[in-house]
Amino acid sequence: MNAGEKPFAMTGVAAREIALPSEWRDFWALTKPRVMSLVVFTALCGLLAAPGSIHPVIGFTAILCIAVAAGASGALNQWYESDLDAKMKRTAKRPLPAGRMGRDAALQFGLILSGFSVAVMGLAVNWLSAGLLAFSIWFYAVVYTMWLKRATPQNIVIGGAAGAFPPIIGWASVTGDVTLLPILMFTIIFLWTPPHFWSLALFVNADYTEAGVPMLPVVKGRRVTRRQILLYTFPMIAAAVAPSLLGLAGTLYLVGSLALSGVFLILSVLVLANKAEEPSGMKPEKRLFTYSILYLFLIFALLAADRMIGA
Amino acid sequence: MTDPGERPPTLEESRRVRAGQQSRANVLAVVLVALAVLFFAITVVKVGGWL
Repeated sequence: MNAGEKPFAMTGVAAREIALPSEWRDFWALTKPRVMSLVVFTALCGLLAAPGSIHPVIGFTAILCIAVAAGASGALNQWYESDLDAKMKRTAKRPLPAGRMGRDAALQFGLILSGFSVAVMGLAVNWLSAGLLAFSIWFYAVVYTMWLKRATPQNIVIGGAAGAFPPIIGWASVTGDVTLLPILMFTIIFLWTPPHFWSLALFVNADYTEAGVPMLPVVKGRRVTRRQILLYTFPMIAAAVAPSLLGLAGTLYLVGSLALSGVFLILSVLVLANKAEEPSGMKPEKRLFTYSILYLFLIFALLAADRMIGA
Repeated sequence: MTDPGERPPTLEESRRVRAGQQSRANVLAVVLVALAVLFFAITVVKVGGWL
């Protein structure tokens, strides 16, 4: 079957397949739109928190390039991991494992989007942002997806760096440099990633085990994972309140980040206290996973708002 | 040479293939027009000396 084609399901005709072109929805699904929304939001907050100004058209272009690059990373990730995705309930319906798209089409789509996003970022915004964007795509597609994911339980710890780049790139789009605050924003996402992903990994452990992905709960067990979630929560909270303590954000952010982080800490303690072995008993893990997404949105929104009010 | 397993597509299959192609072509057209507008706006901003 050619790239981009999919089998046509026909009732009563077993011996024949008609090639259908993949639908645009399949290409859209390849970009992992839900992950992209978090990437776009954190990048936007980095852009808004930066000192100075940027023309709205150029700012929009920067965010668009970051979104397209995130989509490209998602496509390259799904291209490489189609065998794993087919084994996991959570991902089995994606275009590649479901047979709605050929692997070559996914690879070409990912590479074209990567090249496009980096080139436009460089030409329209600045080449520092373009370089960081190219690095983040490479880090996610090669370092995380190809090297780390199947090799070590630290996969999402190191790989988390890839998802932490957007606020730095958003900032660099405005200023053309990288200073302490964007590095702190990077650190917040970097340290947030392990509790976020490990809480998910706890209740989809069977999927990861079956697929042979060495996530922490698979390799070290649930007790160690729950402890690690709490251990990562402390430096994450320190990074979250650091902008205020270092004078880079004001009281609004300090109060908000302390309150949001306090809830995160309580939920992490509840995860540690939970002894459930089956997903049905993992309400604390599911709650922490859901809250962690809200937490990141709110922390970054607060930081951007605080900086804009104080500007 | 004709594959012995092959047969001409049914009317319904042809209709679905065409509908899929049409849908992709429409989305691509929207994307291309949007890109043209974006590149025009970027050019105006750059040439206009706003940066």
